[in-house]
Amino acid sequence: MESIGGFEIWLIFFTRFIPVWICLAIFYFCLFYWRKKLGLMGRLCDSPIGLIGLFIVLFWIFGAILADWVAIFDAYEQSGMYRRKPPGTINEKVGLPYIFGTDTLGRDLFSRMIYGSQIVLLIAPAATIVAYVVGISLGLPAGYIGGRYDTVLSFLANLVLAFPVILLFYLLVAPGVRETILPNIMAGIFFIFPIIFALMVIYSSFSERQNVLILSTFFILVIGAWLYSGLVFNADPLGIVAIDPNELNIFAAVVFTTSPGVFRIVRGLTMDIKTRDYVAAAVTRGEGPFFVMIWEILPNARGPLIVDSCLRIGYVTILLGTLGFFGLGMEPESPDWGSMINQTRSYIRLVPTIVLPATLALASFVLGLNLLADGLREQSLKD
Amino acid sequence: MNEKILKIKNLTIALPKNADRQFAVEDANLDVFKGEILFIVGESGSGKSVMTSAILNDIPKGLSVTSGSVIFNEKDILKLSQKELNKLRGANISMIYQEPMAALNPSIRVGKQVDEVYALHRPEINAEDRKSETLKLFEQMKLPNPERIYSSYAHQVSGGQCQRIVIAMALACNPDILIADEPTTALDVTTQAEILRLISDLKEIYKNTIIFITHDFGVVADIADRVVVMCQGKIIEKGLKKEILMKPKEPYTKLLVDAMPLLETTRLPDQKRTDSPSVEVKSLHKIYRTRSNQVHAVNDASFVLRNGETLGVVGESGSGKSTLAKTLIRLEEPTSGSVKIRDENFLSLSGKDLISSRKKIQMIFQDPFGSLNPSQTVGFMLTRGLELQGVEPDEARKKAFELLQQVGLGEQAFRRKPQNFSGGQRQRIGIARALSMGPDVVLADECVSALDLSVQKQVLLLLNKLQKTYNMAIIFITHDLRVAAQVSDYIAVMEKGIIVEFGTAYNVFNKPKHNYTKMLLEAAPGKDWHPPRLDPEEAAKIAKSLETIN
Repeated sequence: MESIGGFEIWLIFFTRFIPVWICLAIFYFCLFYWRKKLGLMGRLCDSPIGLIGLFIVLFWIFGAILADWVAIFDAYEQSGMYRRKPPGTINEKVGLPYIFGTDTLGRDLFSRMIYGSQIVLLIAPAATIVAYVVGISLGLPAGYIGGRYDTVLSFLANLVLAFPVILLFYLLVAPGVRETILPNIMAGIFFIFPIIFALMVIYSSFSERQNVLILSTFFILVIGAWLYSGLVFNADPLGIVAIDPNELNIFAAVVFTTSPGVFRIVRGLTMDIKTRDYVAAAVTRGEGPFFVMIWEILPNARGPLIVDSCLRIGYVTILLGTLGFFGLGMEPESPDWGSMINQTRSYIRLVPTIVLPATLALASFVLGLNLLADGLREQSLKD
Repeated sequence: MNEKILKIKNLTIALPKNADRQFAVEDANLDVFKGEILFIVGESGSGKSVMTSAILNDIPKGLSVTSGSVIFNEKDILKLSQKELNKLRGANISMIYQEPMAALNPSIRVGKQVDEVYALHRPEINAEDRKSETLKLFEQMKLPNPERIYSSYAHQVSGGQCQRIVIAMALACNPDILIADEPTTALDVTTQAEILRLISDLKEIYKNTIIFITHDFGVVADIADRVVVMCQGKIIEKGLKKEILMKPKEPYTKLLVDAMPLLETTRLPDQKRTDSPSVEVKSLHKIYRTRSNQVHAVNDASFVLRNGETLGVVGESGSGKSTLAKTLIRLEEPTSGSVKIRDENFLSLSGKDLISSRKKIQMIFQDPFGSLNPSQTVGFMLTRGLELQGVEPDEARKKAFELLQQVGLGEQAFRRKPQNFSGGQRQRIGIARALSMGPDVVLADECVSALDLSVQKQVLLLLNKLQKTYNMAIIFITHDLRVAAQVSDYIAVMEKGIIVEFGTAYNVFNKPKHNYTKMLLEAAPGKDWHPPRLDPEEAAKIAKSLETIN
């Protein structure tokens, strides 16, 4: 059986990623060109650590977007002849190399890693954003108004945080649960928050202009109802918005375990910022609580929140890996990184490199996010 | 008195590259004589703290000495090794800091911390005797019940006692030179007076040299021998106290002395006015209750104030003057009492009525850096209030431009964010924001205490001018009697939540009735000093000539 050496493996690796390198070069050129105008993002140019982190993160993002150009094989295509082959083996039928080797069903590990990033990079940021919206919509009033509302919500948040995450996943994402209505109920609860948050923003901005207020509220409700019907009930009348029930289930579970942490951070920041004099100034000029929360407090909490969101996408990526590793929620064939590690781990002794692609992909992406967060923190403290 | 103990020669300390000027300290030459109290005076950013940090070779990170030397005991301190420095610090030269609470370790008993100084620098004293030495020292510091203090933690003693303990630590090894960096700035006036008396008494016993850094000319007048004035990193003028305070030569010093407010007033309000008051407060109470105890922060406050008049509320920290302001403006709900603003009972309002009446009473805040939202433009701050009341955006804009003009900032300030402005400019924005609502009553809560003397004077003049234009009533809360004397028609003296004395400013300053008022006046730093006044025109001329130089 023919194979190629280490140097050629890496040469092919780099050439496959040429579209990604081009995108990265364009991105970094723009970043440095407009660094003065880009605020926090532009100031990241002064932080080597942050630039390295951003590079790794963007590498995976562009890789996921351009997966069809980068990948060599199809993610699901099996080949009985080439099972558990070491890196560099050449498929003689098509004349293409398995640069990272194959798994036990003869699927190309490199291509699966690239296609797997699509799943991870779609769910992790999206789930983090929804968790943030939930955390902010509940945390702002908890910190600002306090009292019994705060006591109850904080207790619930602590309850969820105290529960072992793995156990929660087994309870929420197990095959039996998927058939019940529970995931839809949970998704129904979480997806209502973006609508509530949008209404809070609209109400606080236009409270003194009735016409705009009514018009934009109507607009938000229509759009919200449309997305909501598609995402929660999988019954979009236009047939555009749809989500796989598996993914919805994972999504709801990840948001459920992540949002209490966000809630606590937002609540703490709010309690700190509400003591500032400019908040008092807003109150004394007659602003309502929603305006104070959304326009006086939230913008000034953005520094720590941006840093935390970077770290949190990393945690969520690891959570998704955990889910995949336990075979929860994902299809058995799925190329996501957690599932890949699970599918290959029994063969480490036969082919030691077999688990490396997915593991290193997961680790490097999370590392990139952590470095980016460090860089952002360093720069945001300079204000 | 003529023996030189410390010589600073041609000292130049460079700031980091992107700073607003090149040098923190520029070509400083200074001799310190044995046994004197030398004051280094300057406004914030004048380089006074950086220069003294060089005496301990403890220059802040990022700064570097480019030339010069600090000679002590025939050795250049800037060239000593770490080991020699450790020996020098504490034993020969020691330091008292501004924040006494921060200078003490909160998790070690304060007595032990003083013992530690002995253990480090005077190993000949054995462990058993250290405690008695410390107690002796505490007694000298006039600390009540030294035994109890010895085994207390920092948070269990008051701020003034804390500073006494820090002084005890600094004096434990009887250093030749004691450096005090604004040691009384964080303290109340009465405590400050006691600490200053203590420092000058101790000097008689220990005969050490004291280098005292301050921005407060009042303190200088009380205990200084010699004074050095710094500005923009340069030593502008040095001389005996008398010369600097009474006959300053340099234009900058002249202006600085001129900016010092007098501790006397000539304002006499018309006490026979019968028009309806702007604000009428009747038996206002605010009680904070916790599970174990309650604090009567405002106790039965009553007063009446008419348009164009200013009430100065003075008192020490914890006297309830800030709580009074917060309850008046309903940032906190009072426990009982009534507040009438233009004959409307402000306390009984709620919901929409409260929101629409809020414009009648506005506030100017203390901290120029915390009171403006860093993520909003100045224009938004000035127009938002008007737009909330239904004023058309164009009209609100016009009003904002007018206000910016009136507070001495150009129209270009409209689009900028607060971080582009200095402390004094931010306070002007804060004033414009309060006035944009067209209030009947303005609360000014320590609104000049964070500003430098010269900026403070300008802001006070501005406030005075705007009061004449808009004819509002001002409630001016301050701990500084001099500032109160400059702005007030009436004075309310508060102690422990109670207004102990209320009267016209003239009467309160010249014929104080209550003992507490007398004590406050007695403790005011530099009360025996009558700073020479410049002719306003001459002052403006000097200010202009200094501006062109800079």
